[in-house]
Amino acid sequence: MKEPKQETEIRRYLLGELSDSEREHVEERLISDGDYKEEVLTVEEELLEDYLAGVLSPPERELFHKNYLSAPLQKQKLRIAQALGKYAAQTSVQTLKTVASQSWIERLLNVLRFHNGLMQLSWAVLVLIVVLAAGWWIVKTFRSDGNELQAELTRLNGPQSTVLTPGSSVASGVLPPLSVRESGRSVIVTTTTETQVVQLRIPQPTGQPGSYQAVLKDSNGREVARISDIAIRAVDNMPMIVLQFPAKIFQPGDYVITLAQLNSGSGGEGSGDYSFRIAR
Amino acid sequence: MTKKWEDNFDALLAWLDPDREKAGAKYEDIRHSLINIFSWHGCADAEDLADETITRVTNKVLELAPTYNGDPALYFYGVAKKMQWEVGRREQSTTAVPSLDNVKDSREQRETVDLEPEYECLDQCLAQILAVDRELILLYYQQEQPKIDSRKKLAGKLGMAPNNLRVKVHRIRIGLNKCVENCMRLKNKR
Repeated sequence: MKEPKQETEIRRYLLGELSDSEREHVEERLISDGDYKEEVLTVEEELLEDYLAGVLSPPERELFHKNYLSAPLQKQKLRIAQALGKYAAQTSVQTLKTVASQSWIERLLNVLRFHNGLMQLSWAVLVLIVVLAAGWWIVKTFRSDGNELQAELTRLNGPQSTVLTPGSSVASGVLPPLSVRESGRSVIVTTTTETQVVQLRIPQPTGQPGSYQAVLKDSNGREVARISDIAIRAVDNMPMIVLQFPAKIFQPGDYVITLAQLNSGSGGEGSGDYSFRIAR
Repeated sequence: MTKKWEDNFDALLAWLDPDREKAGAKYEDIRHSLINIFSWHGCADAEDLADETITRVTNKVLELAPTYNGDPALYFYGVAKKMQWEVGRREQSTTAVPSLDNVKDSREQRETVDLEPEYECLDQCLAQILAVDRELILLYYQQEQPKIDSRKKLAGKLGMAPNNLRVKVHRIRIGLNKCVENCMRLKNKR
């Protein structure tokens, strides 16, 4: 902290006004106290500025010439101070806003500057840790999303699941195979904000036993969901394959269900593609 | 450099600090302080006197270090004071110092002094520091008189306490001055 009394004493020291004992006190302090030394050097710069600005009093100016400027090193400091003043006067500087707003950025960059090999290594290790952590988090997030959907599909379609009754929270539709559908007309399943499950019923007239797999794809051919080990169920005394999906996986648009019978050489009865449209 | 000198120098650094890197920094700091002290006493060869002081301490460090209590820097100062008495009081520079009879105002003197070498070095050295530090230091030295009020306003605009700005600018100046002094030394050798 700037102390006026201390500053005055240092100024007097530089101008050669102090007694021998006072001078020794200043010198002992500056050689052993880093902060005090910094203060002495700062006051010296300000003394040079005041001299160049012509604001020293006549007695101070005389002492400055007689005592301070008596050594080559001080003369060089004066010349550098003069050159800096001239340079500053002749240079236009960016706005203060730039200086103020950049200062924390520059400070951050300064901290991160690679001053030695150890710093470089530490920084490289830190970057590696951050990249690995980010990658782990991304994989975990995607896996957990996928796991969550699979758990939901198992709950809705697994051996212990029930065929839900269509209603406000269950939007249902019956999908005939593409081959028997009138061309150009998709089955439309309408969902609302209350819909929680989209249920698709695929009639299986012959009721051939077996296990089925259903793959749901969107209009771009991207797989949205997959359900395996589907068994034929009796719904309203009709053999059906019933597929129940969480409504949140659907956006309005066209979808296709590819149904395949498992452990069957070629598609059995009921295998095939079934298209439908989700509307809101 | 003899083996004995090397051993003594190692002992000197160990005396300053067990950590060799910290000891090196303390050594440089003490040397810099001694140069300034001799120079403020008017000595023309301040660097040589500082190095002679360090040599004398180094030659005695093996017997001194085991029993010395206190800050080693103060021992260096004690030796420097003795040297000061040997050299005599304020040396006169070989270059004539302008008398007040000829120069009414320091601003007049400024215009007649050739600052081209320093200016060139300053230009080079300013290009090497961070842009924000460069702009800050130039803004600081552009301030109109009275400088105290102008700089207080500048500090306020930058969101800093005036003394913090003062210290920050001084620290930038330390590096800048060192760079310019080295540059001038190279120019003078050519």
